[in-house]
Amino acid sequence: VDALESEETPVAPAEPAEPPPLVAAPAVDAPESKEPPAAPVEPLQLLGQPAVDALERSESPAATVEPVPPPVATVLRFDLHQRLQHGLLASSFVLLVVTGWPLAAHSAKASASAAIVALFGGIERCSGIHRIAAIVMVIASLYHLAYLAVLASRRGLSASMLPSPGDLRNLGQNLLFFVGKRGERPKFPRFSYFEKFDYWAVFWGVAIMVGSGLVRWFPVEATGIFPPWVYEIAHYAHADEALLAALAIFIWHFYNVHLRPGVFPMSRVFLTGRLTLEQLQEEHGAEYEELMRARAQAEAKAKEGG
Amino acid sequence: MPLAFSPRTMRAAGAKQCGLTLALLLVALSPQAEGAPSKKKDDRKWCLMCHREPAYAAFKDSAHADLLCRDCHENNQFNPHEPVEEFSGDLTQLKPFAKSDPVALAACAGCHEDMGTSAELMPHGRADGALKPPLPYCLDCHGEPHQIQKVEDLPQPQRRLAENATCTACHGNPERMDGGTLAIGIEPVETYADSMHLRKVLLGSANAPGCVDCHGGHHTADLRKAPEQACNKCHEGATAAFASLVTHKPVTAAQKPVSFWTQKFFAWLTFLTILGLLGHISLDITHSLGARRGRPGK
Repeated sequence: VDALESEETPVAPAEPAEPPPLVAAPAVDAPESKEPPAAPVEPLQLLGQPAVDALERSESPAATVEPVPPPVATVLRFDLHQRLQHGLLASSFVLLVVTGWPLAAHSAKASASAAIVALFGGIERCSGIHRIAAIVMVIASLYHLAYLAVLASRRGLSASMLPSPGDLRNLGQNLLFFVGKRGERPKFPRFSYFEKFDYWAVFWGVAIMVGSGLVRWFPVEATGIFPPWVYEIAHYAHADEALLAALAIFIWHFYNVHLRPGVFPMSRVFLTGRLTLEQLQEEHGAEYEELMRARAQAEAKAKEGG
Repeated sequence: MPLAFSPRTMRAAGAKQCGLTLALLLVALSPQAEGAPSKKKDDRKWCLMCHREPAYAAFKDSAHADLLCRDCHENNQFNPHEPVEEFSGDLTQLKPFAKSDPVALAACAGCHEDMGTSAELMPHGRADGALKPPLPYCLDCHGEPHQIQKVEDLPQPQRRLAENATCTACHGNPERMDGGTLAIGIEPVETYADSMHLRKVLLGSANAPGCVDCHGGHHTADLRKAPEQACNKCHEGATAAFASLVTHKPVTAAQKPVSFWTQKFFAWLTFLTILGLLGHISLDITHSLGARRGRPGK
């Protein structure tokens, strides 16, 4: 999740002496008042420079030394921490689905199950890899929670990832757009309703899978602590929620992020963390407009100050 | 004149006269007087005159290959023995005699005495010591004794699968279970078939249990009294609460309501969620493709 914008902008410029923030400073926070807009701040790029950086850099003196092609204006959408969290989560997820499938499938004799088990070198090793991948997923989740905690203590979490009435409105508008009753795509905020759905589905999914997985991993301990029906729920919830999660990720998430017309075959945002301004305008119209407004304000302020 | 030994020719030659001769021979070559090699030679010489096929070829490779015929066929101490019944001459029509005769059990117990009396063969034995149908005799589970192999020679999980097949031959057969005196139904087999235990066995696990691992072969305690004892063989520290999860009850609203409703909840959650997501995707695709066709310049 990128829930880091602090929309309460007046607070942000008041802390210029702070060490570099752990995560991307929101675009609207661009502290242009304390430094000339052209200053290149390359080393901090990955840790999250103001999203308008790239725009500024194209005008910097350094860029005029050698005639390089003008860089495409991009904004940082996911900082390094977020991309690492996603990478750990995604790789452990795929591994968990594949190694968990043979035992979740109702016909263990089915050739797919046998083939997977053979691939991993036997059912015992398959189970071992499943547990290692589960630990990686737990680490990714704790990493994310710690990241949110740090964000919260530094600048306050924004509500940009929380469901809101605007999401329902956007859903209605989007469906109308799909069936041709509306001329243009709704202007989505930083996180559209389907992205919020993915985030909270994973949030709920990881909680269920880790909880039920631990109960199944340590059945003796679990039945010592909880009544036996807790194990019953965990037993069925683990396989059934896994199926739901796998379907949602491999069909829905993959379609919306990678496979839909215009993006096919793959989006690189999960690797680079960056969106072009054009993409931002198209996919997150509301955020784009906010960014442009903030830039105009900052420029006006800079002129006043200078 | 060539000698052709078959039951038919034997009888035709006059069984009584022949029997007297052979009986005298047997007394002369009695076990006390001779070492094992000549005993075996004797067995092969006389019994196999008639009973060579089809059992003997497999018998040579079986776990019982070193036994004498008369070690088990205790009723036939004199050769040629009296025909058990009028014989048609067709060897393949011979009845698997030991299967229907309790004497066969006695024959097994002659060597396998550690298997105990029938009263100890829980739950297949009877408290009164009697073995009556439909309770199984040795051979019902262990199969044809002339071809018997040591189960220890089989690697896992093939050994467990063989043992499971033995148990399910009766316990998975509704006719054997429903109308029988035990009337426990085939639910144990059905629920085991859907368990993690069997799935792991089928996927090649050497550790996952089969029927016998929990229920035992010959000397098993009644699992209804202290089922956690069986669980503890693998799951150290398992309690009665733990064991209560492996009840072999089917997942129905009446028998296992928590499991049943958990499954129902997730089935509907998954169905409705994926239906909605697929609907969203199809609308999106339809629109995108339509927009492309409609406005090729864009």
